[in-house]
Amino acid sequence: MISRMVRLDWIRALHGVGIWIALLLTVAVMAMAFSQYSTVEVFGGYPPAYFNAYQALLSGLGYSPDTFFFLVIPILAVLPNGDSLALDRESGADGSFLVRAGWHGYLWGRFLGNATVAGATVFVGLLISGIVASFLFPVALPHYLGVAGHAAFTHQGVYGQEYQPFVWPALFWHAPWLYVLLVMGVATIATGVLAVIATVAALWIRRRVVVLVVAVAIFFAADMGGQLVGLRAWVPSEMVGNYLSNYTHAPAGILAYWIVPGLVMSAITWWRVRSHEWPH
Amino acid sequence: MKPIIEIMHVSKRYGSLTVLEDVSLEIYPGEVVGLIGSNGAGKTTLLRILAGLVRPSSGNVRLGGQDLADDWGTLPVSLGVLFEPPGLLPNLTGLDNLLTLAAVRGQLRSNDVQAWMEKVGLDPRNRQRVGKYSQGMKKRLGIAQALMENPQILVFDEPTNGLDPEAINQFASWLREAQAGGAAIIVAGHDLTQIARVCERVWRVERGKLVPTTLEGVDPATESP
Repeated sequence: MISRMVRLDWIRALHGVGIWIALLLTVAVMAMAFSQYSTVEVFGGYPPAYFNAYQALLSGLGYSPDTFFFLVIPILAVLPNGDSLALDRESGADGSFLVRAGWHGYLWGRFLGNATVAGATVFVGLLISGIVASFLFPVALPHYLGVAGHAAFTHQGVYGQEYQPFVWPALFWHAPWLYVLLVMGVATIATGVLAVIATVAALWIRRRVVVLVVAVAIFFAADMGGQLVGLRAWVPSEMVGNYLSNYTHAPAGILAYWIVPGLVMSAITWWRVRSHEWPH
Repeated sequence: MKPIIEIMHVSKRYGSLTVLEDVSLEIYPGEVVGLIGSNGAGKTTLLRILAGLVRPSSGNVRLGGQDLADDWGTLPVSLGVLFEPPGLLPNLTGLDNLLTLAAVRGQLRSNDVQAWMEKVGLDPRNRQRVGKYSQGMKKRLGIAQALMENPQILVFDEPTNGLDPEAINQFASWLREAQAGGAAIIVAGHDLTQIARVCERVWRVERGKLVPTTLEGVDPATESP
């Protein structure tokens, strides 16, 4: 029953406009980042392939400050299907679904449907951006000379400088496409988790617009709250992609950062499934 | 014959407000039961408890002999419900609404769904979104989604609101068809006189309690048939 409800969520999203807007927005934001990234090249003197598709993609995802992907990600998360449960509740269609699917099938279906639709939309948008980047920039890394501390030297002389991402740099040099895909994967998981905030909010709130605003507001509130208490390295926007330029983060910590709130959302949904009624 | 619906000493409280108090009712396959009462009497809450949409504060509901609280996957019996509003997605066409709901159980083909739309007097080729439908059209579509899968239990809340007299007569005949197919049917409203002849027992909901009553052409409510 859950898989049927997930499939229905997908069909519903594909018939809506939100999923297509989110897809276009993802590609547009990355394209703007590519445009910023390549402007430095005009100064000249850089070694061959210093500016490349991998670095362009990582910059777009948050490695460089020349992107605002981390700012639009909560919007990308809720646009495709974030209001599906709220729309059901607002229109009264929840009852028609519940008597057919039961609480278990219905709520888990909406939860997983929303997470997968949102995550896949952003992932496909990033893949398209990857194809665009491979046409705009060389698909090669500069000659790798070695690492000193956190800095990788890519060229002898004055151009030797800090160049590699701080998280798992060895993988970046040995399998750059895999590396980029893993970073895209983190953004995909983040999108899915941010999307289910809307589903969980709709357990209490019927109004679609309010649900969408609440989900986006929670992201920015957590971001600002984290910065206020001095946890800048751990705010959500940082953990979308900018963690690449921060050597305090380990891969497991980055994954846990997104998976733990996903588990919290799952626990709230599980509790609601057990309750067999909407909160009053 | 065993009852398909067993409502046993059900009470529902919201904070200090008691909406239903110690309500018990049994309904058998092929039986049509009417519930009448004023606004806020507790009819809708009782129907929502019966449909598994609201959990009782105390007491038990069994459908097909199985406790509703035990539901972890599919419901123990098939239900068709029509509440107010009729439970439709405003951004889809009428046909897409029915196809979406039918896809949950996966029992009906597209042709069956289209036939149900035509049966309730709606054109399946109409590309208008349900949000633009008139109240009567929404109600007809809501009736179709409740009836289309021939469920074992049918729950209707204010089904005749917004329907013209001809549609009310049609609705009564659809109820008879479902009844003949063995469905247990419970219909609630302020005024059930137009479909009174379909109801075998009628109860009045008064301050959260069930009181046996009569309508023109209906025998007084009894404990069981």
